[in-house]
Amino acid sequence: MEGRLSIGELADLAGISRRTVRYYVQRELLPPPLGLGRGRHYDQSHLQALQRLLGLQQQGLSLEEIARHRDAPPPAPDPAGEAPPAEAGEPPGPPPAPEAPLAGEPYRRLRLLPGVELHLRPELHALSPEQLARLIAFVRSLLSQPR
Amino acid sequence: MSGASPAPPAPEGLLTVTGQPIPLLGVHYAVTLHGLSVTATVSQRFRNAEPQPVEALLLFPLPEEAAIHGLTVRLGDRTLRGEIAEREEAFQQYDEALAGGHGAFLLDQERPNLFQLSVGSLLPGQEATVETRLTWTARPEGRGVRLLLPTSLSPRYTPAHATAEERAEIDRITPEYASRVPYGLTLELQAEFASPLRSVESPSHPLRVELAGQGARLSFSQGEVALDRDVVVRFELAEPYQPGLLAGSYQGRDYLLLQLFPELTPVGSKRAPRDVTFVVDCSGSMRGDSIDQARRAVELCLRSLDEGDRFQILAFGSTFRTLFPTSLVFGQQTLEQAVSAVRRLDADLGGTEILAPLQQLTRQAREGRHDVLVLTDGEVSNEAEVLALAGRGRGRCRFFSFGIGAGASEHLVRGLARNSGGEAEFIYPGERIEPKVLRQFARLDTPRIETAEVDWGIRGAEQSPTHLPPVFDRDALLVTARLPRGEQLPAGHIVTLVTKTPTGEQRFTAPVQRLADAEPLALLWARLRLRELEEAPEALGRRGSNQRRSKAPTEPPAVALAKEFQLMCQQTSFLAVEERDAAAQHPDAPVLRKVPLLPTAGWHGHGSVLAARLAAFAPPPSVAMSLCAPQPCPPPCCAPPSPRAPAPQLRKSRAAGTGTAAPGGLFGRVRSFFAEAGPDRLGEMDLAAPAPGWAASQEAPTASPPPGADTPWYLELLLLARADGSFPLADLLARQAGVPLAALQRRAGTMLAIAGADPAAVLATALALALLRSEAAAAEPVWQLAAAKAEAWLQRQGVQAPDGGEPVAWVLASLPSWRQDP
Repeated sequence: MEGRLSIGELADLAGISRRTVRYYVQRELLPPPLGLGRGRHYDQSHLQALQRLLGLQQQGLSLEEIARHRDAPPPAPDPAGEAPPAEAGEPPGPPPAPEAPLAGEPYRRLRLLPGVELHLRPELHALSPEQLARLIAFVRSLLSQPR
Repeated sequence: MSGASPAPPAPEGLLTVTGQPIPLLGVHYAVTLHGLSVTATVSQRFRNAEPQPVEALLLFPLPEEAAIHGLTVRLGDRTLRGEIAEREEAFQQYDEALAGGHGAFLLDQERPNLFQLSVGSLLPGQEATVETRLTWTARPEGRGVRLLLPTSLSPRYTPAHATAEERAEIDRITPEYASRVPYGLTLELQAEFASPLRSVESPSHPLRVELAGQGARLSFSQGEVALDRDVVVRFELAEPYQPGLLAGSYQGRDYLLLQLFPELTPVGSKRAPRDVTFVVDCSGSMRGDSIDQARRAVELCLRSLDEGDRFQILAFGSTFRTLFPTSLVFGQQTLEQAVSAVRRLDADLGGTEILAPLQQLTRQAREGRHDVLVLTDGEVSNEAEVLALAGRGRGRCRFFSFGIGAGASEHLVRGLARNSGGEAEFIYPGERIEPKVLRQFARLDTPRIETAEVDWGIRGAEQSPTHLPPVFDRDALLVTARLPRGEQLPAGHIVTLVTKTPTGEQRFTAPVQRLADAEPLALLWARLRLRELEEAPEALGRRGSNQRRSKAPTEPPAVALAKEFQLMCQQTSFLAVEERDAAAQHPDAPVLRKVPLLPTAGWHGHGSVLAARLAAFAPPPSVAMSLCAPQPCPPPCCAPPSPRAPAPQLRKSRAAGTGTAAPGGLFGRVRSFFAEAGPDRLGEMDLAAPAPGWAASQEAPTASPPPGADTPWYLELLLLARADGSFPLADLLARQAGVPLAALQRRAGTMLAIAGADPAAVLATALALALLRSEAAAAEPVWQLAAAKAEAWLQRQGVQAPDGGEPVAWVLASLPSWRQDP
């Protein structure tokens, strides 16, 4: 299904481990996965929420502080798993609540390989998770080829 | 080994600051020490006291060198055995089991010394005990062995340059802390040695000791203690460890462990000048006991330098600075300058950015002999980068590291030394610093070995580690090997270590001893091999938990090896699943309960092992002492009650903001009294039941006031030494000699000194040497460097005694008559 992400794909797109995705869900910093049992999955709203969370961490906020500023929640997950790509322009991601001035959105920094990073703001290019995954896979395969 | 922890059940209603019940009831360490081989089981008992299912997360430390080879879960009368699986597979199965309503237990290695246990979906009222089995080789120390059981995790410093992803991963493995927790630690330790025991002491905890044959059984005097400091136990043996080759068969293969203590012949008489940098951690986490210990250690090292050596001191925290614009040439003036600068060092430099100063040092170090003594409590989250740097600088820069405090990171401190060809020492609050510092310092001068190889005498022996660790004079060298299938070690076989130095070759051999149970040998072999595979440069790119490692098409060698031996590593985890039928499943998903930990005592000035010890000994030591009494005695006599039941006076001190989370006597050094009485009384005493009144009649065997208060005379003497090695004629010398100072000053004039020599200094130096040799012979390792400097100085003076002989011998011979007729 379009926009449907496994925990592994979500983790790879965000550049973190699957354990951390699960940890954030358990800490209620991320919405729980959609579906039940083996059908559980994530979608782009999870990715956006995760990117926002990582952005706040980059600014030095602790998870407790982030939890306190959670009163600007990301859009509710779309049951069809087809969250629309974020609008280009500022402010990116979910609109911050007026009392939450911390919600900046710096560049996303993705580790592709040891020594190779990609800095981008996916929302400015309306990149879907699939496009991003293809981009990452392309760079990885390019750099892994024997020269 | 007993399964269930003997810890009593948690009082109902004890909550964390956030108001959630804590699902951990108690931790139990069951340890067997056989010679140097340690096997242990750590049991953690959980109970869900909530009306909904919970997922408990517990972060805990284990010895970084240990092979973790078994996981068993006890659920009432059911027993689950954990299996090793590739890390990502294990997580997926865990995640799916929980989503399917089942129970699951997942043990992950997050760092070589940091583990996370996930106890998934404990049902309301359910109890589970998770037992982790491990084995490792303890480090011999002089004529004994030091056992370290890590129990405490200090908060780690995250470097400022960490990316958001790195921060996210670090957050996940960062403990939450509480000032009180409902669980404690119990211990059952059995030790057995080839030699009679001389003493057992613990700078960390009061212990109950029962002697049995050539061994002992130990437990905490209080039964249960707080998990706020590592457990350190030192066994002193009557006879030193002997070289040996242990051999045994495990699953059809022969495994060997070679233990050698090579005495390396010095190369010539003149050694090259040293070039030493002291790197002192002055970050906030060092506040409290740790910075005091670091200052003392550096001062002692400085005084052991020789004229002509070069030295520099570097203090680091968030930033770093060197104390002198360029390295200084050691002399009386620079010694005084450095000592005064060191005494002003404080833990006021913020964070622990250890990478940058070490980068600068390795960059600047020229090929050859640059030694760096690093003093740190090692609480950083970028250990991998630091250790890789130490490995890249090998050959230019050796790191000799000191882990300071009640919870220093073994992984960082040992890894720095291991990767650079140095050696590590650990200084626990209240442990004597001097022998450790001077032992490290002596390693700097170990003859330079060009090659060292073990000749196993059998083709195809797989040595582990492949590259021998550095060989230092009289230090233990432990190497393992696996023989090819079908090969057995022939009777009378000889294995030889061959070392080559510029002046020649030395050979060391060891007699074979065949073991019935070779499993520990096999696990040790595999653990060492795994570390090599994981710390290989190509493996260091994939760092612990920092990233999700995509699965390679072929199984990495480390994973295959770990599966073969059922061992934990960075890329494998233990998993046990409790299948539940539909009737046993709970409709609700489990809620997260991260088990809070107590902060390490002494961390960031958080309480103090030493200060608390002083309080514990407020009454005169001769009265306050209790040695291994079978019943716990009330504070302040001996100590720490678990914070679950704080003593009233301690509660008061906490209210004043000065107490520790787990205060109490904190201190307990249990020194068996037979150590004082000498080896001939061995076996006559039952320590578990000391004779009434014995403790009070002894000369403070258990009381160990903080360093300084009971400094032995020879250490005070060493602190008088001048940079050139000579001693001034001081009161201390006169007191120790039993001759008035004025009389000594008169005698000085009778020595026949040649032009230029100061007669008082000549007599004082000769007297100092005479006293050290005659009255502090047992402490020779501590004073030998200072004595060598003093002897060299005397020789340079070209002094003769009035009888035409050597001045030290003359002083020694004359002392009795001086005492009678000053």
